[in-house]
Amino acid sequence: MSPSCILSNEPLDPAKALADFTNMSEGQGAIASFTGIARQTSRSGHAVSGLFLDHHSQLTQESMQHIAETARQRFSVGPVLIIHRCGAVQPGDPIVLVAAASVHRRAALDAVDFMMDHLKAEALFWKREETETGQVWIEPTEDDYAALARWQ
Amino acid sequence: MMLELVFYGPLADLFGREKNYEVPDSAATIADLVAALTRQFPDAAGALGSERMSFAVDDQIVQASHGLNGLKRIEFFPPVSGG
Repeated sequence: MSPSCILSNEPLDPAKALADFTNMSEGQGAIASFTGIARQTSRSGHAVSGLFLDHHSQLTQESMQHIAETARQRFSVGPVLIIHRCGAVQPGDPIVLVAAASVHRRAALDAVDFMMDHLKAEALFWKREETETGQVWIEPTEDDYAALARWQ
Repeated sequence: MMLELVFYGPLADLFGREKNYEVPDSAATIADLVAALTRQFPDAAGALGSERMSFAVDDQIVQASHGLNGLKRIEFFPPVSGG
């Protein structure tokens, strides 16, 4: 089954998306998921008033698809799901949902971990935080790049 | 040679999404183009200078060593940040 990847500029409902994913994962023994929430405080400690996610009209979707398909094959999992927000996102709102289903738990957990590390530092998104001191484009931290390097 | 440049993320804040740019005759590769832009727009030097910059031509990722000959449009991808 090819992975399901959705790029959405509408609010994301992780509970509903996960319920739908569970329904389509019949016969699997494990479902792992991760939900990322837009931060309410910037790295510099200021309150975030808004977030904007820039993306490419075609290649962003392809980058998500590539990450999901690589995870599915590498960990031999069943259905895989990525939903990622784009455009304007409010602090506290879900920004990404990743899920994987498999016969046993380890493969599903690893696939989710792998997909998140790659979404953070390889998928074609550009994230800008707005705070009272201005707008700041966010780049992955050294920890994020180190997390990505674990899989190489 | 006039090229259409397309920018994302912090570069779009600096240049706008699209910019028509007259490329100096001496520029043969995307790396040369980046060097010319950096000289002309010092404010963009930080973003353009990242070793994690990537580029796309016809919706395919290409390296900075890619030649400019025959190109009409180049997309500039600064370091990405999803999740």
